[in-house]
Amino acid sequence: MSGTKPDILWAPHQVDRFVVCDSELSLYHVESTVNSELKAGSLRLSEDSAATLLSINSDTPYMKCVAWYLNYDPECLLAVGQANGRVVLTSLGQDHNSKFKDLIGKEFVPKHARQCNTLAWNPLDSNWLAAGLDKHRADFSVLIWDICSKYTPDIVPMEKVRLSAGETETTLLVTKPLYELGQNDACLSLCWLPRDQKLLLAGMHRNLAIFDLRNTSQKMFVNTKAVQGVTVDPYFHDRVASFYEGQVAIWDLRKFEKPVLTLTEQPKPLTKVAWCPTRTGLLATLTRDSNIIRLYDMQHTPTPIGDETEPTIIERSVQPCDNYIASFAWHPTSQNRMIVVTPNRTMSDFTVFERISLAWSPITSLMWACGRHLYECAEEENDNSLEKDIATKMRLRALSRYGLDTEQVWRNHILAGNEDPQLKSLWYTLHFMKQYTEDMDQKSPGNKGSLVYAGIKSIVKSSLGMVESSRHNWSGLDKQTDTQNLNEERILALQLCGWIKKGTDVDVGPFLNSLVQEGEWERAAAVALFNLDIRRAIQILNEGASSEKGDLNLNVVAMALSGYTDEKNSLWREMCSTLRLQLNNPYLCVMFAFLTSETGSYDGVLYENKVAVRDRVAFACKFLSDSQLNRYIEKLTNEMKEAGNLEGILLTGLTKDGVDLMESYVDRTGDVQTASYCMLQVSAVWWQLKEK
Amino acid sequence: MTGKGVGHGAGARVARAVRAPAAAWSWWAAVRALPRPPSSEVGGADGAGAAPAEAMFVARSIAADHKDLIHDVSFDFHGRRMATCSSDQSVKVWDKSENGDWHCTASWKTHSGSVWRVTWAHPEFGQVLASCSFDRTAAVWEEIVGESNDKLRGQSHWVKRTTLVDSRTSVTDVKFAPKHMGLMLATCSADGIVRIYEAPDVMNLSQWSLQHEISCKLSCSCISWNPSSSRAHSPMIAVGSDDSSPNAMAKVQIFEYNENTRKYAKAETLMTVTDPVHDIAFAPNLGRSFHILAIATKDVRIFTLKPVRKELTSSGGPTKFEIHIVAQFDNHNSQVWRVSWNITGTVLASSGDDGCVRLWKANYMDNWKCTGILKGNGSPVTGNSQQGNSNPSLGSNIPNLQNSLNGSSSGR
Repeated sequence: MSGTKPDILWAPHQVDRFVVCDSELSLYHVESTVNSELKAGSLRLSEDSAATLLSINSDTPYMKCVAWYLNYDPECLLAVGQANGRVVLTSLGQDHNSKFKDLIGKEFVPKHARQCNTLAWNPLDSNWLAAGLDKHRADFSVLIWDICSKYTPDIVPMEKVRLSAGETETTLLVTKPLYELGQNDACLSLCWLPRDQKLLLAGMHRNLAIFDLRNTSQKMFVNTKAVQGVTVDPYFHDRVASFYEGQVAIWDLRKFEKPVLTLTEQPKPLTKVAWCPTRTGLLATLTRDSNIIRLYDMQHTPTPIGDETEPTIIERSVQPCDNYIASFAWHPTSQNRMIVVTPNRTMSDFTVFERISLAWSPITSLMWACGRHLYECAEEENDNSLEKDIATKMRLRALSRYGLDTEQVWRNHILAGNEDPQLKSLWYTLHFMKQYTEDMDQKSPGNKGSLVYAGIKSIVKSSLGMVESSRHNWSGLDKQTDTQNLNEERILALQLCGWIKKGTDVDVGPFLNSLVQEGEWERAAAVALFNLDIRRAIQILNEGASSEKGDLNLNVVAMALSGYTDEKNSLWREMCSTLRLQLNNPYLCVMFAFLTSETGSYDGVLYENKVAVRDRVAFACKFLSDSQLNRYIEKLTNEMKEAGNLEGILLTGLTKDGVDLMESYVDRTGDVQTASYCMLQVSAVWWQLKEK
Repeated sequence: MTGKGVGHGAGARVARAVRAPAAAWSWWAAVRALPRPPSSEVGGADGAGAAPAEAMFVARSIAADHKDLIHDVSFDFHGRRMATCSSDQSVKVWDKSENGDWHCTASWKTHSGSVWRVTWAHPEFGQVLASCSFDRTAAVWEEIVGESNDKLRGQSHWVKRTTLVDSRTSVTDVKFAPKHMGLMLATCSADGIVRIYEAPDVMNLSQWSLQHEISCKLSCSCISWNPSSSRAHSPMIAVGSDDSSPNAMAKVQIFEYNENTRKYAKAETLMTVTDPVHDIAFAPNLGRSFHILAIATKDVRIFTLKPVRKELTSSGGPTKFEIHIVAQFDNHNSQVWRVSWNITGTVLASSGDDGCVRLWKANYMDNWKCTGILKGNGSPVTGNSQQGNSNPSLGSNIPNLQNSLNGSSSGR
């Protein structure tokens, strides 16, 4: 304390009050701010509490230590130990109970003046107050005062007269203690043992001593340096903590010979050690110049009786504020609650949480235990699929029988919630594969069927060197572009991509119509354009612009398209090349990339990652030569495998590549459900084929 | 992005729903209330939806009625039963009713010291629990089936089938092995020994033989079996130590069963983990090509262990792993006490000295983030305590890469 460093104490009974003491005593009242605003003039203690200053008492200068009267009545009676060794009773206003009025201001005076180090009220006899003093020659250093004792003029009349000269409250001096102990010694810390009213534990100069007031000539003592801050565990009355420098010693009074335990030494000297009054075996410690309260959770400490056990002590630390902590105080009744004060008198009120153990339930709720309480947090069913974890998704999908539709295979993506473009792509791919396998099988029984399931990569490979390109006219434009003649394999690839339907017809019309129907105008326009039908593309965009859900800007895009010119150095070309990069829609972007590209160089389309793989592959099948196509498919396949992107199943089919891709998909998402059902679909088909 | 609209709408809906007492708990609502990392995709609209202060949740409190600190919570395979254990030396079993409430259906004194952990066996082996305690023992318990007075009162009866007394010190953790290994049980103790027991006859739970004793040299605090049931993965167990003496020894060791020697041999030591470890958990595997291991030490750490393909390693020796640390978060400020994976190993929950439960989730780039915070007493996190959750110490936000790699296309 000593003027600068404040100490802090909770009122023992009025549990919403505490006192901060430095050169004066300040009484505060704590209020919850959960449902109210911070009042003017009050200090914030935590997120949900604030303190209001009730009164200040500066009657007692040279304070060295303070102890709050333990009885209910009077509430605000405090004992103050002063630098001259005197103990003064003082009050923090408000109490005007006449019965105790004459206690206020009472002083207890030792024979020789020296510093008062510590004070302790007896928990059983509320009138007994023990004071520990520095050494003065052969004088006693532990004095036990009875605060109700009358002043004693008959014993020391002379002194009283001398002292009272010039003073007004002469009757309030007490000079005769009840007991005098610790002769020729110094007392640094004190505590009463709750076992017996007449047992006092004192940290003396070089030892810990237990004084028995029934026989003051006897004392039990043990030599140790750890004589500071003696304190009894409120839950285990034989367990005592004391400290010296950075080290805490734990004692068992039943075998008071050596500490049963010393805690790991801290680098700085300790200033306070206190047992938590609301929880067993929790000791809080504070060192100088530190913003951390270190806690020791002693679930099991060694006892002198019985055999040796490994101590189970869990060390923890809490940091209630950023500044150094001057002192702290456990709340007497609120579980694990503590208040701390910093040297500049900012305060902080907080609760030390118990170690929380937790467990996830398999049905995605989280249970945890904190102290003696259990808490459950369950996930609320909601439609926000973006934030759902795969665990939840898998459960919901299983409930909707996801993966089990082996007839309308594409429907599985609807069962999966119709929300994931990769799943959509996967199930459509599997659907088409199933469809065309059966188709092939009917046409030419042989091994073609299994080729379909091997994916476009294998299909394209099987046709190496059999395709020639030819010039095709644009419809509606005076322009020609090289496209590949579609052989059987490329047609199959386009079919798997979904661009053309079953049969020998290579018309994309039905596909465009279905896209338009679903409102995918940009995509439809791009597909039309890639089929060299710029008029249809423009028409689709116009349609989109005029539709309810469409974007009016599509008209502008249509306008831009219609201005197409083949001329190499035209303004149109120049503007399109730069402005297309600013288009948000990837399909609009690739349309202009296609139109402005040099013949045979379609990287702007092929490597636009936001365009669906199936559209890019279909595009590649139409425009790339065999070697280019193979290279491109190879590259794309590897990319898809690496990313675990299910769109890539179109390329890999269910070959080893496909399994690799699926593995990296599972690695990435944990969606083992999709992987399993996907493989199950195929094995079903394979068995069918085999049976035939 | 139609998802934007949906997100906004749902956020507002939850905020309303939460005021009604019936639905007053949803951690999803809390998740939504978190500040979001900047992302061009979801930024604006979602932020606005999540802003209102009412968008909070309250966890549901369950009257546990334990007389002292609860040390462990454990679910059975189906998530319909739960066991808790406490310093009051008892274990309680809880059953979930139709309406989702938990009812304590059994509570009995199990040990003569604090009970540290409790765990369920796979239901294929019956209704079986194991517990471990400061009293240096682990015990196996079985529920008695049959009509009795207890049943009529809605209580079930558990009997002790065996006491495992091999440890000379506090038994700090107990875990049943994955089902495919048979009925096996591992314990670890403060004397630094991991013991693996087997019930050779699954119909006779009173007979357990000590199959393996693995010495870890350091006081053990926690164990975790690798749950993978793939034949490609040998049985594997990770052990953590909370030894706090100031040495720089590695605190996590991983042991693997060797078919040839029929012994457990050390496969890996995580050299970078030198602070006391309080909990360790392998994620459920689900067919991933690598294992994920979460560690509670002075921070939350997540490691991946990718087995180097067998054909590349010399046969017979332990599997070699490529080990990567994929996340490290010190948001709990100080010690982290527990880690737990959800059923898919995609969300990790951790608890720490800040008195909070935090949820962690990776995006597809293996970039882990905090996706939720809950206070230990179930009250919502407000204001300051939320700060810092969006700047994890490891793993930065890479918002826009997703589209460039995955494509936002619609496929058909």
